Amino acid sequence: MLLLALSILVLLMLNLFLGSVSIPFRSVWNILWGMNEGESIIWQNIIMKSRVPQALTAMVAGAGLAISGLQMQTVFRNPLAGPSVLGISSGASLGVALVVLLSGSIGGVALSRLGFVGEIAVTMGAIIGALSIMALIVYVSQRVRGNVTLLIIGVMIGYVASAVIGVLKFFSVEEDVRAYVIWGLGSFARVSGNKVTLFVSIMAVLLPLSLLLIKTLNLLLLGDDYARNLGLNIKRARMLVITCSGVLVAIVTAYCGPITFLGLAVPHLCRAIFLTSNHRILMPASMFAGAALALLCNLIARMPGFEGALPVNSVTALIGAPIVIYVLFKKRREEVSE
Amino acid sequence: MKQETIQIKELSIGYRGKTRPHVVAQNINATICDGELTCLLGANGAGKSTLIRTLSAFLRPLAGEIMIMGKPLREYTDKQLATVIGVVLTGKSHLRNITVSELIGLGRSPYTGFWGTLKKKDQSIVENVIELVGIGDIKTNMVHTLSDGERQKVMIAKALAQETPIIFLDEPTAFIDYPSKIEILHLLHRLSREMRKTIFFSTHDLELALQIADQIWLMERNKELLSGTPEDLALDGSLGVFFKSKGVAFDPWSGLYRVDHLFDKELHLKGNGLKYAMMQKALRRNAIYASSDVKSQIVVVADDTLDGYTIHTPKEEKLHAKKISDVLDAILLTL
Repeated sequence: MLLLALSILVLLMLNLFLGSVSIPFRSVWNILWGMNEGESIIWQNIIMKSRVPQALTAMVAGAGLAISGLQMQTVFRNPLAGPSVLGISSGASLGVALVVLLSGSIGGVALSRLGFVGEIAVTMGAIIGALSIMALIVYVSQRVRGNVTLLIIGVMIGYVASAVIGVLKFFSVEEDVRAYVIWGLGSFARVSGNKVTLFVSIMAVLLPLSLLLIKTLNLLLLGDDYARNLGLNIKRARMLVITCSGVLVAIVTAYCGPITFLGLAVPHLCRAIFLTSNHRILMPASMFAGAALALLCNLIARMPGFEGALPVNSVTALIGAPIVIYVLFKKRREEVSE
Repeated sequence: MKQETIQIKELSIGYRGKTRPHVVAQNINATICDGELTCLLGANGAGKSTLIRTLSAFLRPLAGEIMIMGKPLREYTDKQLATVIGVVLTGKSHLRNITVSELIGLGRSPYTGFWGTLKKKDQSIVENVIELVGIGDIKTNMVHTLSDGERQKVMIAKALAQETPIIFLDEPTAFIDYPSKIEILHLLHRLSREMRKTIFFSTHDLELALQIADQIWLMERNKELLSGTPEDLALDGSLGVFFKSKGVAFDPWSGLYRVDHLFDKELHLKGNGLKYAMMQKALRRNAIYASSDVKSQIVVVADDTLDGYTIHTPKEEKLHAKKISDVLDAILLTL
């Protein structure tokens, strides 16, 4: 755990000190501590307006997605559950698609030209989209018994959302489709200025709140019947966990776009490292590991040579996919040996 | 003095369907007492699991009343019930990466605070039940590495850590080897006696249940539930009727079921003692009725005072055999 915290610190530093524009170590240090005399204005801008917000965003977004994935995997008792699987990310995408694509076709203005107002509209679209899909899932979860059924319904909702997005794209202005596709690539860089403060403070409230579910999650591990026998109100517990997880994804997706794989892969990584299913350990571990991994991905995406052009999603998938495949193989082996 | 901790009146159990309820069993009237081991017997599909799930409040009864410690079951909240009834369920759990003590610690959940942290008292209770159940040597092991019998003991320990006066177990002896079955039933018996717990479990292991349980419930499809001590049920013929099928006989003298062999041959068997009994048993298994009061051309002598066994053939030959298997090899072909 200490190692994880340490690696976050190191990665955070690397994120601040490394970039496509090389700035001497001393200068970065000075700028960070507000000693701006004699440092170039361009460098100041790069550090304070680009690298710091980006690193902070990556950190909290990674932590949020990891926690959300862990909660989903426990509540659905399915190692492949994750924010993107349940259709919540698709909900956010649908919201954004509606805002971005419809504004062009109906309002006659390409949103991409609207600047700040457009940004807010996109964020709101993502949040509203994600939360309404989540509300739908929570509603279904009260009615459906099996977790697998619920999971399948979530996946189906995701498909429907993607299909609607497809239709919208077809009828949209090329410029808007491009704006939407870029949003869909996901990035920690889009959040800038005041929005970072807002994003980070929202997450600073939500992340500790999600830790309140540790006991509930541990009981859910035992299965519904055992959990109920130990006094847990299953329906309420399920709703709380899905809501918590859904809100986290909604907020992160609204600000950074759909970031895939982190939410799915990080909990598996933590289980493998700490060899435990106890959420008392897994929750903070996933939070730290999520933050660390997101910082790492961000760092790789900005490696000299890529010039900031590499989409974060490609990097997360490149790291995430091998992990998921490994887990699948391991699971298959165990099933055979049992 | 034993007390009736659970009273069941006119209970109907089953599942509520969309149009009409699917009734699994009805008109169940019975009581379960503390300090006793009560065992539910019945064929697959008789409704054993449904009954246990209904008593554990996982399913709502279709009709009737269940009184737990003098209070109707439906008036308990989930939280209250967690300190009254502990359950051990059938089937494998898919728990991974959690240690035995951690799992048993989860049994303390009804008593722990918001974060589920185990206090000193909780930890000492966990230690106590680990000792009581006899799993001290595996307490730091991961649950998924245990054998089925060990895992069952861990789940019983979890229920004990819950400190409930009542424990329900759905087929606690399924999927485990014979010695472990006996061990688990002994453990349950001991718990009912020493801690005055009300223990109610279902099983398919008739033989063991009839020897260890204090009370037996016989559950059959479309028939009234019968209950009583195994001995009373043996005397009034209920047990004999309950499991009547080819190849199984109820032996009223031992009060147990045994495999009913159909004989097609007879053999004159001479001798005394354990060797005689074992030889008789071996022959019975081969559909040969062997006794000193039947006549046959071949005569076998099995006696504790003699070395080995002797076979007298019709041709007045005397064959010696060291083991029962040798005797069987020699006579099965000729008979």
